Amino acid sequence: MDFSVIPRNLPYMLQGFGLTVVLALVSMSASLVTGTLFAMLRLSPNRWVRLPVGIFIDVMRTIPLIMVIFWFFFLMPILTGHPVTPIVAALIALVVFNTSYMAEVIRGGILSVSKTQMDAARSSGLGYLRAMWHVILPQAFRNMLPAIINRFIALFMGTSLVYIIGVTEFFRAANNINNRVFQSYVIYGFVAAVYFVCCYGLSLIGQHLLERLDPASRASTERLLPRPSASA
Amino acid sequence: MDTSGICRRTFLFSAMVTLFAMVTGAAVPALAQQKTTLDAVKARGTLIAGVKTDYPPFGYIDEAGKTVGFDIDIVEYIANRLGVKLDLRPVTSANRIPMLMNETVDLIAASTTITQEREEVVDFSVPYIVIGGKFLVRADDKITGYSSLAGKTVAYTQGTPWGEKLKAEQPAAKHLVFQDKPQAVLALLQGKADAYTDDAAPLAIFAKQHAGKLAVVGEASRPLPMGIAVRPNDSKWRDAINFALIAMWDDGTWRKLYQKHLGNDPEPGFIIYNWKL
Amino acid sequence: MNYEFDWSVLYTHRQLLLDGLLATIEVASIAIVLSLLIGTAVGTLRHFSPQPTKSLFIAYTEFFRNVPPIVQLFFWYFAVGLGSFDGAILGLSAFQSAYIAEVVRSGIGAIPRTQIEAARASGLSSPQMIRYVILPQAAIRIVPALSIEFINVIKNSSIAMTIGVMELTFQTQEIEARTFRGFEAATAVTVLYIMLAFVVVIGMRCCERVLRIEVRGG
Repeated sequence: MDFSVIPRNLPYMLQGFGLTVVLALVSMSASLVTGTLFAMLRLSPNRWVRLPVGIFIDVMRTIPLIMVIFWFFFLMPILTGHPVTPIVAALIALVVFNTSYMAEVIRGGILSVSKTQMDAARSSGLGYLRAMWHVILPQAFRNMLPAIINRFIALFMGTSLVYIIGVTEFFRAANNINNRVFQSYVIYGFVAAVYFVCCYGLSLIGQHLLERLDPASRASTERLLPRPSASA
Repeated sequence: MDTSGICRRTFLFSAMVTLFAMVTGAAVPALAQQKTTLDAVKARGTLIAGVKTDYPPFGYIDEAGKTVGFDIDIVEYIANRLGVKLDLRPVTSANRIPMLMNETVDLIAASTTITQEREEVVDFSVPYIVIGGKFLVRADDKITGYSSLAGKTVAYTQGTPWGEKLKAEQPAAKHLVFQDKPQAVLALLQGKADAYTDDAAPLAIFAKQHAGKLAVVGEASRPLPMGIAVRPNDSKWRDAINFALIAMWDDGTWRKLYQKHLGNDPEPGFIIYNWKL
Repeated sequence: MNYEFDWSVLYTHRQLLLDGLLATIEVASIAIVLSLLIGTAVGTLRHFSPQPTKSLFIAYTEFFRNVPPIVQLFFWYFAVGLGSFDGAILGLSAFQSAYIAEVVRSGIGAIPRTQIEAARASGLSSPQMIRYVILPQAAIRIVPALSIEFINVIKNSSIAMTIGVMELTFQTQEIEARTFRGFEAATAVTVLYIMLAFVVVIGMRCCERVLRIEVRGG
């Protein structure tokens, strides 16, 4: 086993790691916005809004991330008539995929805020949207912060899959190196260690945040899920 | 989850998919391609080329992290001749044609064998190299060709023609399919595969990388031509590439590149068609 | 850009889709069973173990769920040298068992302390208590979460294509490589994945009904 392959190829792999971080952060921020939108749409009293959105969310959560990535890779240029770089296709796939999960988390968060909050807000004269923005969503987000962090961890791990369409993020970078040096134990062990440190670190931050929330909201986050599962 | 709800949703989803497919199927032919890629490339000032990054000597990543290889040098020549910059995009055997067809790249110079099946979907330039297929085996194995592969496991990468050839020549062989070529080599070294079939040039390089452990044997196919693939119905673009290839042959660059990357002599009798009288 | 839809390729290459479906079912079902067994064991043991051993189970859980499944598969296949099928099953089971361990642990944690005290008071030994009191009650509570985990196994099985398993996602690429009809192939495979998830949900609902009768009615 030749451990020197790691320091020798570190710059190249770090470049990939940087891309991983960028992909994760960008898709997370975008899907926070779209996820909130979809969550509110799914709570709509109007059946024609609620059902299609519900179908979209449920279907997205049933198909593998790889398939979603392939879909956007084949589909986007056909839809838009424009060429699409793999990285753009990867980003869009990650955002759309994550939106469905975020929508469910956010919907759970909104529902966990007691109904009296909404009633009080409406009766003080705030419209539905303003009540949402100023009263409900802030409380909902505080409740679901740990769940959001869990989802971010899953997203971070999910970026390893865009390697399939040629995006050189951390996993593909490490793979490219291994394809030349053939030190599988060293390289993949290193990759596993890096992901572990990052994801476990993030989950510790999540746990810390969970402890800082007051006991009442802590009970409601436990009701959501032990830890939302990561799936590709 | 409630079952009747799921039934309803599955039905609604299937209905939506069918509707969507019909609508796009009707609307899409309207988005026919009008411009030629040649104009687009010149306007953009950059040639976007799909190349391999895992396939020495055609396209691979060197110690410095740069993408290099025979194909890369060829597209560099073409870009220089057109007066544009070069932008390399990594492709694999499995995704190179989709990347071309969805207009992510302007051409693919990714060791693509010219076959009639592919010619029906893309257009090829004149051949720029001929390479035969061979087998990479462990040095102490007694494998000589398709006949000795009955019951054995043969590795190849997805998207290459070797799977079909294997089925035709040796139906009793087992298939092991990978996404990257070096992964197939690794499987061979680990004993998971008894042979790895691919073009002769990269196999020679893999054998050299693992001197003594691996050997190149037999003939998986007669020498086959490789070409640069472009989108169909774009004659101006294809002509520009062909003229560049012919110029490269005429001024001796082609032979220099061949010696540099493949090290030995080209297949006898191969020339890039010279149309100038 | 011209794209002519040609759905007939799905019929011509139906054998590929069938092979892919069978491979996915094979890998996923074994991984589901294995991850359930390992996960239940780890989750239960983690809940009831005293401190030094407890950390062992915590380490297992935290390690296997914080490394992406594709990295785990590559490790088992390329580094350790297992075969495609074995590597895929081991990798998928290890990954999912960590999540199932958490699900099981929270299910056990939700059982009122009075149950445990009553069980001990009636003289049941620890294994007996776990077998007859804890697990059945936990099982009912965690059926929905387990559903999700099992569907995740099916989804993660798509990663196995990178180590040579010719499952559904692999066949999408294969049909694409032969006919250049990626859109049609992706549609068919998506529908198949949805149907597989559907089967899991139905199966779990049946299990829930059986459990309910066994635990409450029995």
